[in-house]
Amino acid sequence: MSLQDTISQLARRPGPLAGVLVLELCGDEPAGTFGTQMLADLGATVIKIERVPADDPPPFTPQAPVPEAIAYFWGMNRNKLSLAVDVKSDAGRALLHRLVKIADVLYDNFRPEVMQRMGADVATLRAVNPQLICASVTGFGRSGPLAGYPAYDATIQAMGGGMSITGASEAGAMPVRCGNPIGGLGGALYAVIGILAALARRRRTDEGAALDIALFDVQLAMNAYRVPPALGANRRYIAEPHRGGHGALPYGPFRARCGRWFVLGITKQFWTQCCAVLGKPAWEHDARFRTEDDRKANEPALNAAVSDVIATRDADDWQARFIEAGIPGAPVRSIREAFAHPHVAPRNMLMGFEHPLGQHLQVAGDPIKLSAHPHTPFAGAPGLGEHTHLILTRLLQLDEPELIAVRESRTAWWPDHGLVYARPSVV
Amino acid sequence: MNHESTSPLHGIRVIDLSTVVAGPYGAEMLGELGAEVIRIEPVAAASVPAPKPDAPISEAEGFHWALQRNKRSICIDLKQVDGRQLFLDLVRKSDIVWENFRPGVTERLGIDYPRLQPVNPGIIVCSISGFGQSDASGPWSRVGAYDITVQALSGVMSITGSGAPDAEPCRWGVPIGDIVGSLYGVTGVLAALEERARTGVGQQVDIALLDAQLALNSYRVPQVFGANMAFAPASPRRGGAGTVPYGPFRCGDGEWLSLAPSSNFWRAFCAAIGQPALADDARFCTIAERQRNQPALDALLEEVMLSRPAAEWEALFIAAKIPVGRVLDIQGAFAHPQAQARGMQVELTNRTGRRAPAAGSPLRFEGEPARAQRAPSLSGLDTSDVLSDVLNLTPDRIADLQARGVIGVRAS
Repeated sequence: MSLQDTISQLARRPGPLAGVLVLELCGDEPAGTFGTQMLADLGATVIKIERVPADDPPPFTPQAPVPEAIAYFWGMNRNKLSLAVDVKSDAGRALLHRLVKIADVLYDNFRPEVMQRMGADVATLRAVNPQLICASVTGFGRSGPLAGYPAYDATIQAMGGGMSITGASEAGAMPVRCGNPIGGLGGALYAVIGILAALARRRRTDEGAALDIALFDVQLAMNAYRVPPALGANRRYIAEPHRGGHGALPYGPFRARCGRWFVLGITKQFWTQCCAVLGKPAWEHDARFRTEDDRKANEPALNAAVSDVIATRDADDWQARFIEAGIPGAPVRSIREAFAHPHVAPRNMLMGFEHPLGQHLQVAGDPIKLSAHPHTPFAGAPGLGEHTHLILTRLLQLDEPELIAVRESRTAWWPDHGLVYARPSVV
Repeated sequence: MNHESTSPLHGIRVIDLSTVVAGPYGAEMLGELGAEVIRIEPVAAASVPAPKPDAPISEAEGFHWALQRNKRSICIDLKQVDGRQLFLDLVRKSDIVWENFRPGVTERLGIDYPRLQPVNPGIIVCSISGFGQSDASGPWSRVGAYDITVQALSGVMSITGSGAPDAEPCRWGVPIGDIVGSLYGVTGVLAALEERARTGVGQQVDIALLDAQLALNSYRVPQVFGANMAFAPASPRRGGAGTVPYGPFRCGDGEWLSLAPSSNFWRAFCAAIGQPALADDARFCTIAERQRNQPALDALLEEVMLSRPAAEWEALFIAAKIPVGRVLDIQGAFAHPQAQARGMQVELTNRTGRRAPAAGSPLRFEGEPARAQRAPSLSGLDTSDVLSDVLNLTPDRIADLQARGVIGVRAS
C-alpha cells in the first residue's frame, strides 16, 4: 500500500482533504487547535502531538455531566488522532522529524523560541522536508517590535479596534469584548485559508511555505469597510448599538413583552413591510420616518416608537410574524436555544458521537457543506496517546523492539487500557 | 520564479456575483491570493459617475475600497438570454463561481449549480446565504439574514455585553456574522480545489451564515450540551478558560487597558504593578482563589490602574513581557507601531488617480515579498477586456451586445 493510501486510511472522517497529513503542535487555545480541527473536519489526517504524562493517568470513566475541561477539549479536537511523544528528547525529536518528512503541514501556535527548543523551527523543519507547509499562528507574528510578545484573546480584541465599536456607547462605560474568542478564532480561520492556498501553490510549483499569521493582523483586516473612511477621511467610529454598518435602522435589540430582546435590522427595502408587521402602516408615510434619511434624522423618536411597539408582544410572537413576512428580525438566543433553530437538525449543526464519552455530549457541526460529500458522523476527540501505537507502526513502521524502546524510555506513550482524557496541559 | 507565479492561486479564475459584505469579503481574499476575480455587476452600474479623485472617502466607498479590491469589473444583464449565455461561456473557462443570492434566485436565473455543472464539470460553486440552500422553499430561507440577525440567533449576542443586570445585549461591532461566513466559503472552495486536483470534478459549497456563527461557539457547545454549563449574560472580566483578572481596566488618563495575566504571568504581573506581595496573598495566590475573590481583586486593580496613564502601563507591561492590550479605535489600531511594522496599512490608487488607504492582508508567507494589492476597478471598466481576452469576442460583437443593453461598458 502506498504511503498516501495509509495516510488516507488513518483519517478519521472522509472529505476533500483526504491524503493530506497535518501535524499539530499547539496548546489549548482556539488560535491553534480550532484551525487543525477544521482541517480534520475536511478529511485531513490530523495528528495532535501531545506531551508524555509524568505518571500514567487513570483511565476515564464516562460520566454525566462531563467535566468542563473535557467538554472544552471536545469542542476543538474531534476527528483528530493523538500521538504522545516527548519532543524535547533527542529520540522524540527524531520521531517528530520522521513524521515531518512525510507530512504536508505542520501547524503551531507557539513562540519561535519554544519551537526552536522542540527542534521544530522553520529552518530545521524545511531542511527535513523542503515541501512542508509550516503555519505559525502567534499574537503578533514573527516581525515587528511586538514579535514574540504574548497575547490573549482579550488583549487582541482590545488592540484590534473591535472593542471601540462594540457596546451601548454610554460615556465612560467599560468596553465590551466579543463573547466568543474572535481574536483566536479569527487567526485559525485565516491560517486554514493560508494553508490551503499554499497546498494549491505547491501542486503547481513543488514549493513549501512558511505562513506567519498574527492574530493582531487578522483583527485589523476584519475592520474591513471601516478602514478606508477611518484612515482616509478621519471618520471616527464609535459603538452604535442601534445603527447598522450600512446605516440600517431601526436596528439592534428592543425589549419584547416577555422580557427577552428582539433584534431588528431594517434596511430601506424592508421599511414598508416592517411598518406593516409592526402594525404601524401609517409610519410609512410619517414625515419623520419616510426615508432612510428621515429615520436617521429622527433616530431617537424612531427608537422610542419601535421600543413601545416591540414591548407589546413576546419575542417568539414577533419572530413568527417577521418570518412570515420574510424580513429580518430575530430574538437574542442563548447558545442552548440557538441549537433549537429549525435548520440545525437538517444541516447537522449539532452532533453527538459514537463513542463511550461522546454519547454524553454534543458539538457544533461543520458549517462547510459540500455536495460531493454527503454527511458522515464525527469521530470523537482522541484520548491522550490513543493513536500513538497506530501511528508508530503504520506510518513510521517501527518494529517491536523499537516500540518497546520508545515506550520504556517514555519517548512515546500510550495507555495500557482504556481511554485517558486527563491531559498535562488542558486549560 | 517571478512574483506572479508564486501567488498561491495564480491561474485560478473566479466569477464573483456577490454583493454587500458576506460575499465580497471572501472573493476579495481569493483575488488577494492571486486568483483572477471577475466581478459581475448590473449593466446600469457602468454609467454611474466615478467619484472625483480628491473628494474625501465616503462611507459607501469604504465598502468598495475594502471589499472590491483585486477584482476586475464587468457589467452583464443576466436576465437577458444573451447575458446568461455570456455568463455560461465564462463559467466554461473558470474554476469558481461565487454568489450570495437568496436561495432560489440562481435557479430562477438559470445559473444554479445543476445547470452550471454540465457546462463545466470542474466548476466549484460557492453559495453563501443566511440559512443554507438545503430548504430553499422553507420560511427561514426567505428571511433576509443580516449580520445582527445571525449574531442574535447564534447565541453570541447572549454572551456579549457589559454583564450588568438587565443590560442590553451587544452585537460585536465588527460584522463577524458576515465575515466568518466568507472565511468558511474560502476554506470550502480551496478544499474543493484540492479534491478537484485528484478527481477532476467540482462541487457546490453551501455556506449558511447561521451555521458559521454556531460553529464559532466551539468549546461552549459541549460545555452546554455535556457539562450543563450556561453562558449568559457576559462576564466581562473573566476569560474563557477562567482567567482572573481579565479584560478592560480604566487608567489614569481615562483610556482602557485590557489585562490578561494567566497563572504563569501572575507573579510577574504583581511585580509590574508594584504590588509584589499580592502574588502570595492568600486571597489571590491561585487561580481558584482569584476567581473566588474576584470582586476584591477587581476593586483593588481598578484603583491601581488609575495611578498611571494607559500608555505608561502599556510600556511597562510590554517591557516585562506580560500580555496587555490598549483599547484602541480603528485609527489607533492601525497607527500602532506593530501594525505599521507589519505593513497592515496599504495605500491604493485607482485608474483615475483616486487614492484610499485599506487594511493589508494577514496572509503572510515568510521569506517572500508581500503581494501587491490592486485598487478596485470602476464598474464596467473591464467589460470589453474580459470579453475579448477570455471569450475572444470581436469589437463588433461587443459593440452589438452593448447597443442591445446586454452588457455595460464604462467609457474610459
